[in-house]
Amino acid sequence: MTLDTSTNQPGDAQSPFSGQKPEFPVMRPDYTQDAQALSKSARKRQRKNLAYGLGFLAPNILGFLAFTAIPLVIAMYMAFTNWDVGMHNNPERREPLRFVGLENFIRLIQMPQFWQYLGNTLFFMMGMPFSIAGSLFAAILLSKDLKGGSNRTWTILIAGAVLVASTLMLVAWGASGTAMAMLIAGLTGMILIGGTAGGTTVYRTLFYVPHFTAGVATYLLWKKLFVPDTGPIAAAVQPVLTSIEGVVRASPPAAVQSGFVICMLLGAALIFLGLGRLRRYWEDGEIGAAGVLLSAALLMVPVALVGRWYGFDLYAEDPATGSRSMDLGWGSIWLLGSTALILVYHILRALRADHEFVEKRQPWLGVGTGLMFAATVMVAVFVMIGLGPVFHNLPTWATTGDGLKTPAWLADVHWAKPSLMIMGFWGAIGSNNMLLYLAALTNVPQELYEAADIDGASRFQRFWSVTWPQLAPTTFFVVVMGVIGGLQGGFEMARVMTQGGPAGQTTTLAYFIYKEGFETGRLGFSSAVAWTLFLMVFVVTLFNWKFGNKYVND
Amino acid sequence: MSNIDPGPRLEQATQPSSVLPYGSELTSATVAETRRGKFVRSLTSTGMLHLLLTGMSLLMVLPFTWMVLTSLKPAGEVNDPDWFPSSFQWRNYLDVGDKDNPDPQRRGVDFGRFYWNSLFVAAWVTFLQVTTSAMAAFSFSRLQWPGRDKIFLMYLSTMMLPGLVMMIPNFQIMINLGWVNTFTGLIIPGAFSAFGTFLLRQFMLTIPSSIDEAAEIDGASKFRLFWDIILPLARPGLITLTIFTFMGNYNSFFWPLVMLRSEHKYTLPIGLMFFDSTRGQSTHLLMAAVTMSVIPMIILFVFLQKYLVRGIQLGAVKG
Amino acid sequence: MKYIFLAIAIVLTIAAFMTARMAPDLASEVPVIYWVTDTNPARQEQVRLFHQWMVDQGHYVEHVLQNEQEADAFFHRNRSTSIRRIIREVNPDAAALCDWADDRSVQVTFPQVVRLPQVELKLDMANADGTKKIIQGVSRVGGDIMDQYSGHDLRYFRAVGLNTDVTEAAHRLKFDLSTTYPAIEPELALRDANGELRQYQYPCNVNASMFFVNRATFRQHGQPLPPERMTIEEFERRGYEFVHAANAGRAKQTVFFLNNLEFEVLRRSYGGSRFNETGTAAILDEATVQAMRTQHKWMYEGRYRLMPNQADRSSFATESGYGGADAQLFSHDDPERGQYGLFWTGRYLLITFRQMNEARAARGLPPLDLGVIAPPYEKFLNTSIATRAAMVYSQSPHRDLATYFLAFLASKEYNEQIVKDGDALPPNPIYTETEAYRHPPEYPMEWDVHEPFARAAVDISIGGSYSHFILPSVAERIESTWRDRYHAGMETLEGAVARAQAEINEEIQRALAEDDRRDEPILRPLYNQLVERQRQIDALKERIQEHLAAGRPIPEEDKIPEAWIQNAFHIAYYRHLGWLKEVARSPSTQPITAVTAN
Repeated sequence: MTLDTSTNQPGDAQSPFSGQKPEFPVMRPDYTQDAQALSKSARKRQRKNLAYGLGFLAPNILGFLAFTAIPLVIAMYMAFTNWDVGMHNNPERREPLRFVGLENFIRLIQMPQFWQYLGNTLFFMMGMPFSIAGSLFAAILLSKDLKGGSNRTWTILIAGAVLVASTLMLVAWGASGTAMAMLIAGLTGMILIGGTAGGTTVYRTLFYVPHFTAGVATYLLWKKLFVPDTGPIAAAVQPVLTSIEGVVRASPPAAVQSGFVICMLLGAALIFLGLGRLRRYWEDGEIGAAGVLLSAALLMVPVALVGRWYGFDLYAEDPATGSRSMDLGWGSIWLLGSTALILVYHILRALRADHEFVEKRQPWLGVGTGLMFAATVMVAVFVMIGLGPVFHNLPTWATTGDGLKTPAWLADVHWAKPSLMIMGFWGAIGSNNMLLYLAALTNVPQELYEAADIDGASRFQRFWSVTWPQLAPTTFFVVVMGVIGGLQGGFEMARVMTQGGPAGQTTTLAYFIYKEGFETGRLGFSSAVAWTLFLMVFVVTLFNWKFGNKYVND
Repeated sequence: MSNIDPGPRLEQATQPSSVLPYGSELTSATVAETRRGKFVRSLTSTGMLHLLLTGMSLLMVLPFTWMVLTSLKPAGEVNDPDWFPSSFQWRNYLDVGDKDNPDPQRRGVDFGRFYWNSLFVAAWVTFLQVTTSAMAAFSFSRLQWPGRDKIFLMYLSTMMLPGLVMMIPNFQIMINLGWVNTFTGLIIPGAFSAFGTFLLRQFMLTIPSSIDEAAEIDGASKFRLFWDIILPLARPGLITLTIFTFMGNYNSFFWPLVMLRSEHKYTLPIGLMFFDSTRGQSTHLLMAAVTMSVIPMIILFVFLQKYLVRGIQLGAVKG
Repeated sequence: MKYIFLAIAIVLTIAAFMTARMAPDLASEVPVIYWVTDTNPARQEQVRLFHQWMVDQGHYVEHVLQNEQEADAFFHRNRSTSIRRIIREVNPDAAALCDWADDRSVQVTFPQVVRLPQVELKLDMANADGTKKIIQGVSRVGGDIMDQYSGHDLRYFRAVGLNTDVTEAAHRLKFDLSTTYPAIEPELALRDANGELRQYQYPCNVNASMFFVNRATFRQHGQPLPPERMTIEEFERRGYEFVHAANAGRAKQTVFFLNNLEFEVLRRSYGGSRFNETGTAAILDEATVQAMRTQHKWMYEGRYRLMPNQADRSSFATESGYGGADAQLFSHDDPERGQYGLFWTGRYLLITFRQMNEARAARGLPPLDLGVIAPPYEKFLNTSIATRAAMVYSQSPHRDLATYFLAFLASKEYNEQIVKDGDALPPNPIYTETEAYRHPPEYPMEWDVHEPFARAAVDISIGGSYSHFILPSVAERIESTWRDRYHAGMETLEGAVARAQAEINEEIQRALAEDDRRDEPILRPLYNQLVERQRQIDALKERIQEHLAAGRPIPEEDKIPEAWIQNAFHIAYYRHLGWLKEVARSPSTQPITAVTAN
């Protein structure tokens, strides 16, 4: 092996994409870009490397520059001008393009709709971890090679054949009242047969089927599924709601509303435990100052917002009877107060830690882990805060009007976004991400699994210590593309299904760019919006790049 | 090539895995296992796996089923909530290509030509993109040269801007090159994409560096390293990129719409638009057309996906 | 693997050659223009009529072919399938020659005379998206003739400089504004800096919206048929009786009185508009508030409501085609699946109804029993009028030839085809006074329907209200966003209206500020002029109010001159109120007479 110090191997633990465990023999060179420090022969080699590097890159980068980079630079510059199609692309008169600096951005920030659309976009992104997890799960399921030739295959085949035969008979006899049920039974049978006979090939194809059709057909279908009251989803959910309603009606209101109190207690408990874990990271020297501060801040975002959502009204008066009952304001006060106390407690305990140990570490250590952990706890706290008012209002909802009814899904101001997220999650399972993970899973060396088995690892440990790190480059790709797609997405969806409604609830920034740009011709302004998207994605990617490896190696 | 020792190798056999080569969870139990117990456990776990996969597949497949059933409906029934057609109109599939039919409800479009155009453009774009991306990804992942990572970051960042804003400058370039309303204008811009480079780079990073060193010891040039060693190892990535690119380009609607003006050059998504007739319901024909348009992708996928997973085991690289 | 690579490369190269060879031959000595329009099968027939009309009007090139060599050269120059078809259609006497061109064994005597129209018209129907028109247009590769939908497109495309001023050609070739409905003037023409009217487009068809009445549905629920004209109060009374009777006992409402009513029509009937008389500012006054409140009442309040809201609407199926799902629900007899008594649309929906009648006849059902009524009103009966119009692309290399197409749209042949087709109203109103229009022989069930539409287009229709200083699409977007927020309960009524008005005025001021920064401001001088006018108009209005309060008739000099007013609504409304000092019209123009409220 050469001892060329100017190379940086992919297996180097300092590289962000190290996918191998340190027990494999790797070199640990210092890669410096400082040409002067290198000897002459090293410099010559560096030039040769540059030639090779650019040589392989050439075909791609030439086209890339011509068709992507140049329009991109133009478009980005336009954000700082007053580019308006009517003034500057007008074939009849050409006006000079005026540079306006940050004027477009200032106007954008002052627009209240911008913040609403930004919120919508970020909301849609919150489903991303679940989508990635779903596609990974699907890939794991599908990576097993299920081809059988023994008795059980025959059993399944026979069962499937019976199902299909009965379906065909019923359809032929025109029993279309239960047509849907028969259809589902028949399909299930056929899939089972196909799966056992054809192995995972069949399942993989079926999982990927949603992606064969262009998006529009899928969106149209989901529009039908989300039909309120009579649609399939509403029909499935309504019985659940009705039984809940029954339970609520039968119980005294105070009992149901106590759920609100429980949620608040749980929320505070989560914050306590979360901050405690961060403190222990700090005490164990696994996290630096910047890391712990950022993570703690992230954890307490829900607390900051709770006042806005719950308000501060302590008592609500019932106009009919004049009786006073506890209102949501108590929750705000409780959460704010308890968080303050918890903070004080943890800070005091942390300060009693070993000073010398603390001062020695760099501030950005472990920030990836910390943020991931804090984000998870934050979501949990959000869930608690969200559930609280549900319990609180449940007695009222169950007893007034029509009782508990399924919402109007896509037409309801509060449910439009969650409905679209459900659809997105369905699409994400059998998606391109699943294929990527499938391909990456096969690259995991079998020896690693065998080694883990020898060590007696449980299934979960095997996944967490072997599979997950090996998938790190793929995960990086999936996350970055997911963020890019998420921030740029929602365009086709909004166009076909909701036209950005109701009341702008499903308008994402991408759709806003399109509408604003081509409806008014003010493409300079649209470019400014595009810039904000770009900056957000860039920041996330940079973050992932720099700190992702820390997480992988933890 | 010399035998690289990747680490402690297991010589003693673990329990032979049953039919599940992916780290079989069954084998982590104790050694003493009765044959029947093993059989029953493997039966139930395989059976459950089948059921689970079947259930999920069912969810995935339902929309497609609706589409196929709708394509077999007579024209007036398309809006009915009932999924089943009252009578199966197989002739819808023939009407799709029948563009001179006097009956407006049975009139199709120049379907064969649109089909060919779509396949042609998608095939070329896929071919070019996979080739250039593989070379670029090789450069970004296996070669060392100054400024490599910075340029890669620049590649990444170009994907972060929504394409809509670049539409007009892009179109201007096309006009200056004279590529409007040509197939060249559809193929060449689509052949260079940061997405493909990014994807293949990530794949190539998972190949251990020891292979590069071994090749260098053996005196292989960089090109041989690329062509003979890395490319075959990155095959799952190449296959994945092929599928993605082909499907993405096959379904692309907006760019051909803006670029093309001659009807004989239209691609399939544009042609499908003609079924959304402002006069009467042609949804049944539209669904039939969409079903037929999906067939090449299914074939491609079924054919390629086994290469996807049957990747080369790294342990086989020796001798 | 390398072999696969090479094999694929070879296959693709062969495919490229094949594709090039497969391209159809487009050789033709006649220049070609493209008509960017929608996917309506009637277009082919209209193209055929156009070529015929060109020849009939004398816009052709005549070739005398003396012998076989000349004929051979001629057909060699004109090889494309489309030009061959045109030759055959336009020269019925030369049918033998056309056969000879394909099959040289046919007997033909020379000399032969063949006429070619001066231009060939081809369709470009991939027109789903306005974005495509803009992008191609600003890049100088747009279609020569483009369909435009009402005044929105007109102003937007003018702002981008894509349409052509055809005023002189219109006078010369006889397709000027006097040959079409006066009410759609704002959708076809703009006033330039000197206040003169410049025409940019000509209608392909015109549509006045009214309510279709499904008489069978009314009878089914035991309700009397509504009269042709109703006040809003009467409308609501009948409506609530209808929905209560039709939905009796049903938990979820499935039958509605009407499917929709255009907001602008409702607002105008309360006596208000979006802009003031000169378009210098938005005035969302009491009329807007009342219209929004009424709409809210119809959609959201009460046990059974008159009009479905968004949530109700998504309960019904969604499909494409004219009228979509609403047309289905209007026309069937099953209240369980959803029904409408009244359907707000234009005459073009008859196409869908005709198809439905065929399907009904096949199932043994009687045809639909349809009537037509006007929208309800509070102070001022009005309805909306819209048009799909054609314009000539300003960068087209064949502008003059393309202008002939607009002249064709005013011709007898085209208008008669529209009448026969049932595709909305023909551009020229005199063709609606024919028997062919009123009583089409194949469709006796429609004889009650055609005449009210035509009459409405002339009597009570009003075009859109526009401002020079803001794009119509922007103003509409602002208003509808705030309206949605009000309906969703996110904003109070007064708050929503006030915010909408403020935002529109902000936009106007922003456009003016941008204009000020130009070397030669275009908008600002016009704005100052119009603001001054507005002041004078407001002064006159005050005087008129004084006269009314005192019970005096309004003297001539205190009436508002028509030439001062830009907003089409105010012209019609003040005429109705008797406040307008009218401009003497040329005799060829038909006056609008707004019907008095009864």
